[in-house]
Amino acid sequence: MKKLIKYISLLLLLFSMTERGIAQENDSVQKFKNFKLSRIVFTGNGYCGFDLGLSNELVDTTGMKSTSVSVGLAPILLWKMTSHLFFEGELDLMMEHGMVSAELGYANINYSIKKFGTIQVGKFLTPFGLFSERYHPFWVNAAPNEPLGFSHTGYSPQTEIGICVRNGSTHFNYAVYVSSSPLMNAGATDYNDAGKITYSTDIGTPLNENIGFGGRLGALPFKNSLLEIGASYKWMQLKPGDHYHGTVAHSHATGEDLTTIQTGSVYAVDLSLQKIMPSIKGRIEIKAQVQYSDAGLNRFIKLSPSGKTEVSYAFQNTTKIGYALLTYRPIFANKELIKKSGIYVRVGSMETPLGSLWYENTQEVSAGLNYSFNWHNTIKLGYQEILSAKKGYTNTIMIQWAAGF
Amino acid sequence: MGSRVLIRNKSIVIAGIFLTIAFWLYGCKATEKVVTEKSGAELWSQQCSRCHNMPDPTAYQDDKWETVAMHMKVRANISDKEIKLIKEFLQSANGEE
Repeated sequence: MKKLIKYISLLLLLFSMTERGIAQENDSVQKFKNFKLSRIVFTGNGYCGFDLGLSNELVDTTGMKSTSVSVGLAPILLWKMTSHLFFEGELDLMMEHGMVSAELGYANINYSIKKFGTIQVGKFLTPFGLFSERYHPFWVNAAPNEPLGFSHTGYSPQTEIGICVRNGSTHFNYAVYVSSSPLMNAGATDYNDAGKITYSTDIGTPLNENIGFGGRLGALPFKNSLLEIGASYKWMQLKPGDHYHGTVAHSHATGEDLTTIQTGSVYAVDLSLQKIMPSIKGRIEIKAQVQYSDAGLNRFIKLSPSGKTEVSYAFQNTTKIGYALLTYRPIFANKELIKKSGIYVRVGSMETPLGSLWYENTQEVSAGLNYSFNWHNTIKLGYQEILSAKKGYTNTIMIQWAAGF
Repeated sequence: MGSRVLIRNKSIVIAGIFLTIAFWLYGCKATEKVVTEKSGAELWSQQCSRCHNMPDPTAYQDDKWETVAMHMKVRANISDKEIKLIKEFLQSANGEE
């Protein structure tokens, strides 16, 4: 009997321990799940804009007035998996000029090692100048549009697929990367685009076919981080795009084989300066970036269906773009309405290769007002004048609402 | 043609204004308070406003700030030490117990 009681007691003890164990295990699994979920952030940004053309010269070759509505939404997922491991991904959904596009903005895994820095692998925003990496979301950009040549389809590096190492300190920061290079447009889809470099990268671009590398070095000479000056460089192998076997052939000026991969470089300097000035009851900011790209001497030959040369021409594939933006925000004003308002003035310039069919020599002046309902919600009213060697003089009024969420 | 000259002149004048303001702001540096050790709040106002408006600390809970801080550390190349101070400030000021 004593033995039986002993066994039963032992069994009860074991049972209670197991129960407690399972409960504890369940508890820890739940905690782990909660922890994982709590480190996931769904964020993003969106915008809605309306451009109203004022000038009579705002008529393009197709006879359509360039009055347009643009809408965009970019949901972002951030996930801190461990203290070292982090994922960020963004989906870009846009509707402009009646065309809807969806693209993976970026998706990358980051591994941070204290002091050493962060290794980033995947598709990431190009650390080239400051605009494409830091200022491009419309809730960040003071103006309702991008500076000339800095748009999504412009002439500045946008995204890379590859590996990037970066770090920052109080006075310096750097980012260096090796990535899949952009493609050179061979002009088969649109003959007029022959020679354009497509900077927005597709996730399917093979990494080993066109290799590029680059980086940015930033200096913050003052302890209060008022001023940041940066220099960027990108070297790239440029292979004609997939549509190479079209009606337009592309060759190097030296007459090498048509499949020859050319090389190109892009350089940029950027400046970011901000100053809080109680004397004028506000904060002044200056942001500027100038860049120059050179993809060598290109020759394009248009072939007839029978294979005969119809047109042959060559040009030095160099592009220059730049902008400077000045903003003022009266953050010390007494009235809430004024405190949340701001003004901006921007000048910009863009010159694409002379001799190419997409040659443009364009200057821009724009100015406007913005009002922030809160730190991530802004409405903007802008006026822009553009003088283009190709399209003449245009002026536009722009209205945009932009929000980060 | 007139508008062409006008817009070019405007660009030059505005670029000149920018340069003048940049030099003026640079000159103001001498009157700046030299900050040796900055607090999380100071860094928050300084680093965040380099690109955008300062975020409201109550926008996220503690755990979420962990993630957002890591995102911003990578995006803006902020040092480990500075992002830690910014994050601690935001977590202390977000009203979460």
